[in-house]
Amino acid sequence: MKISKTQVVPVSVSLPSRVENLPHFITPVLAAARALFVDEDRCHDLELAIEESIVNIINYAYPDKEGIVRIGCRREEDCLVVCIEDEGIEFDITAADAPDLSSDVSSRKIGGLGIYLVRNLMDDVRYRREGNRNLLELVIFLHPKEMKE
Amino acid sequence: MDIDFQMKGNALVASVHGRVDTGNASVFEMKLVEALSQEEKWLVFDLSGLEYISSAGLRVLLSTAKIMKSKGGDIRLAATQGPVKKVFQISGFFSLFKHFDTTDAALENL
Repeated sequence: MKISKTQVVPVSVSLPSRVENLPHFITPVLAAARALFVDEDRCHDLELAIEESIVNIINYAYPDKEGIVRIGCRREEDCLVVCIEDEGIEFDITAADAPDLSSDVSSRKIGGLGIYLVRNLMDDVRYRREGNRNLLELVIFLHPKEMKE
Repeated sequence: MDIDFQMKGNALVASVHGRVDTGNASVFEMKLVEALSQEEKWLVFDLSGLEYISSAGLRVLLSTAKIMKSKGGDIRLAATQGPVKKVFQISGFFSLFKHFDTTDAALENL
């Protein structure tokens, strides 16, 4: 995507990969989203996608010991892009298999549902590995009315 | 997150309020397990007050449903609202569990 205008939203948080830190990662990003007039339903989706993404890092990138998670966000033209980084085990959530949603209660497994929610709630999800870092970007489109400032 | 429990006929109604997320899903599960006796087969979740649920909470609903199924019963979902409803739809929970617009409708369908 060609970027002709990038507006940096001043969010940058770097904290250990602990469940109790989830609000510290989420709250400033939601404040930035609301400042860009993202409505509450989309803020809900963003919050859920961030929680699931960071829980995934806790479970799969840093399975044995905690590590550092960084979150930031920026505006790219008509999108809000949330960047989540870790230095753990390589894990591409965009390549993970979709869960089996057709099985009944007795055989239904919940694994993979968090990632599936991320991919379905966001307008775009991008992943790349750079050196020893997982770089995940969660993207939501800003609707025309949300662009008015 | 708060849960209120109420017996209605042969069903336990669990009214869930607020948020169920990774941070409190284990408390949610513990409260459900504590409230359920061996006799109850039917558990109706009144979700009209549920504002947020992540996969950790969905996992608890699924494990609770497995317990109820093992007793010959099941769970019913009622009155999901707004963005929470979308989470259930994406997760396939509306095909996994019967869902009703109101708790009363769920109780009538047991």
